[in-house]
Amino acid sequence: MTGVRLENMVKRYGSTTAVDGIDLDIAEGELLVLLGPSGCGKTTTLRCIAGLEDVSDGRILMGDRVVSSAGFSVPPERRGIGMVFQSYAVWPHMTVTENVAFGLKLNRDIPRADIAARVRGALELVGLGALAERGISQLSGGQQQRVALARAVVLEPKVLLFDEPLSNLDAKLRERMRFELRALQQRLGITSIYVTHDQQEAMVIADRVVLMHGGKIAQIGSPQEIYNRPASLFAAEFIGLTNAIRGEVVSAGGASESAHVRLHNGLMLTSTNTGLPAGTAVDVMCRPEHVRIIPDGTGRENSFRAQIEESVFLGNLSDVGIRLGELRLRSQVSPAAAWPAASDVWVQLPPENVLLLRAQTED
Amino acid sequence: MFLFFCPFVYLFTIGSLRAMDTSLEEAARAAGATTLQTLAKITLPMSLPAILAAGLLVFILCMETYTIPGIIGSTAGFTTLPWQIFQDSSSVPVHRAHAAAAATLLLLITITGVWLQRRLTRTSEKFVTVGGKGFRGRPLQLGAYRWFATALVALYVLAADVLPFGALLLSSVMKYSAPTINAQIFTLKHFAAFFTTPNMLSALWNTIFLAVLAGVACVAIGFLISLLEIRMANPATRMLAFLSVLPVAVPGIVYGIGLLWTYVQTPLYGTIWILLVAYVAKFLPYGVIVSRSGILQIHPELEESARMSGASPWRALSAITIPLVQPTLIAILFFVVLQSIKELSASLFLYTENSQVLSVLTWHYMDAGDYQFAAAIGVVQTVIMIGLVIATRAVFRVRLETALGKELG
Repeated sequence: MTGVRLENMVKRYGSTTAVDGIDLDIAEGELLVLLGPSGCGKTTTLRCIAGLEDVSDGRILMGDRVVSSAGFSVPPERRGIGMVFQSYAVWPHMTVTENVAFGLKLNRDIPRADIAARVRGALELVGLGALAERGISQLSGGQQQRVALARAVVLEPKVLLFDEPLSNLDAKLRERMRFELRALQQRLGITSIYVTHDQQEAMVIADRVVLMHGGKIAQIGSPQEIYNRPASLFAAEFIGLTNAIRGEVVSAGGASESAHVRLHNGLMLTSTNTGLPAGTAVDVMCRPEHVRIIPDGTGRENSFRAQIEESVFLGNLSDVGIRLGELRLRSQVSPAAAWPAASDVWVQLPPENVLLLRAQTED
Repeated sequence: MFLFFCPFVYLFTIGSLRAMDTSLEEAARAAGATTLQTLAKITLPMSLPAILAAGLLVFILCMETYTIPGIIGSTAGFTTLPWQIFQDSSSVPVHRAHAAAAATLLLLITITGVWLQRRLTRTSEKFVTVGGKGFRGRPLQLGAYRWFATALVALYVLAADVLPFGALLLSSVMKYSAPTINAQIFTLKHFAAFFTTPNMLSALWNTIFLAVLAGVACVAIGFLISLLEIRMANPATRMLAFLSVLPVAVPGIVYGIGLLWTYVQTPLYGTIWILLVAYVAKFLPYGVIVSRSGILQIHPELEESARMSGASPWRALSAITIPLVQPTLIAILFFVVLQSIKELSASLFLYTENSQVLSVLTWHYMDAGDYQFAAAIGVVQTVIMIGLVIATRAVFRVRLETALGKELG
């Protein structure tokens, strides 16, 4: 097993910079997810690690060995990396067995008998043991992706790369495959890097999530960390839903005292998120599931009279639009409840769930 | 001319028609349009770029064709630019400058045509109707119009295939041109003569040799150029691809004169190699264009996944890419072989006594008024071509018209 290390990696295409100097340390056996919107540089980063793209600057190391640096690149076939592609990329002119055996046959040191056994093993692993002799076109999308997976793991790579492997599958299958992929990676213990734009997928699969934005790393952390303590409005909005309101810190607060912030409409909020000096322009953030609808909030902190705008039943929860003066808040209430439109209610934003993020001028 | 070029339009448009998602048409039907309205408002506008492109291509091809107008037109009392060039440069007195001027004019017209054609096909890429997903086209139900359509097709087949080829076959077995047909004038002596004239056999051999060599060369070079252009996109490879496609704009006759006047002083002149140069240059554009779309259909990840499985670049190419584009490559091979057998406009300028080819001989016997013998050669040529088409289908299970139509369209 080998870890992977990226040192100030830069990838430019002509005058555009796709990846703008990122540093990453992927531990042995870890499953790291590169997450971000399209164009954030996550796939480019993955392809650089695979050796399918050269880096413009910086270095990539596998273990102690430099595999990529400016002007130097170990070709992909000599990196000992397995990869599963978005389009599956299984070869249509070969059977399932031929696809999986392709890489093994290229290595003359492996005896024929071993090849057959290893192919069978890999196919059993992904649950395709019964379909070994099928042609590729006779398989469903999900089965084709399993073939691609078997083909990648059969070579016992040191590192496994996934480039949005589930995005071509239908929703149900995708959800099931997430858990399967995670379980398989845990069982094999292969260092894995997984690219996706689907935040839920990232949450299910990742040991650690690297959130990327505009060719840079926006935040690194466990799914919980990023969800509960987003470092920026971008992170807060990309992972999960959030209410975000412009405001200004009135008092910084401290160890035993809450911070206070004035929203742009004049409303005052209390937050346990202390430390930003008074006068700082902030985005005040509160996730919908923390916006509580209560019958009477008289005398409670961060409680306001409000009006229901609409209430949508989603089965396991209700998605409620609330009007608070000129502000519009979104609340998710579980278990689902229903309010008639225009009914008067109280909302409460618990201080411990009100996050203050330094406002970014560019957004 | 209409009959001769109809197949090209078919080849060029069937691809885009087949690729069109029928759900687009079905949506129109669901919105209340009749079959005819759907055809007029949806199908036709969407395939317009392909149809226009095909039309222009035929326009260019017509511009350079002088054999058909030459044979029919000169007797029917009208002349065309290519025919004029041919007359000026090959009949005594030779008007070289006149021919060169006419050729330049012709070149300008065809280049304008190609430029227009490129513009039109470029806009057609905006309507990318082709999804990666498989869908099944539903044949149009013609209902009562069926008989009318069948009759129309039958008429076309009759006029385009049956009558000319029948006449060809008939005259090849006649002793002389006769207005009435009776049993006494039938003979196989032309075919017998064909196989006993030494000149003829060497021409047959030359034709086959050149056609096969030109075919292989166009496939290999065309595939390589397209591969470089697509997989290693940079200004140099794009330029190379552009240059290799350029001869498409050059009418065969202009090309023939150009080559003749260029190579007449070199040892290449008078050998069949100059013919090979001409054929390869003339048909390479098809090799490049067709293999290009063939390669474009192969997702680069298919190659990349081979690399990730431990294959060298060469191994990925030979084990994955080439087998996958094989049908396209075979289609190109046979297309070029067939075209080379038919090629006359450039050959006529470049052949010598040592480098006869069948198409030129046919022309000469025709010119000399020996229609029966020319017809016999024509029959042999046709049989070779039909044989090739059938052989491709049988051996490689490639439907030539489908493969080409898909790629060209």
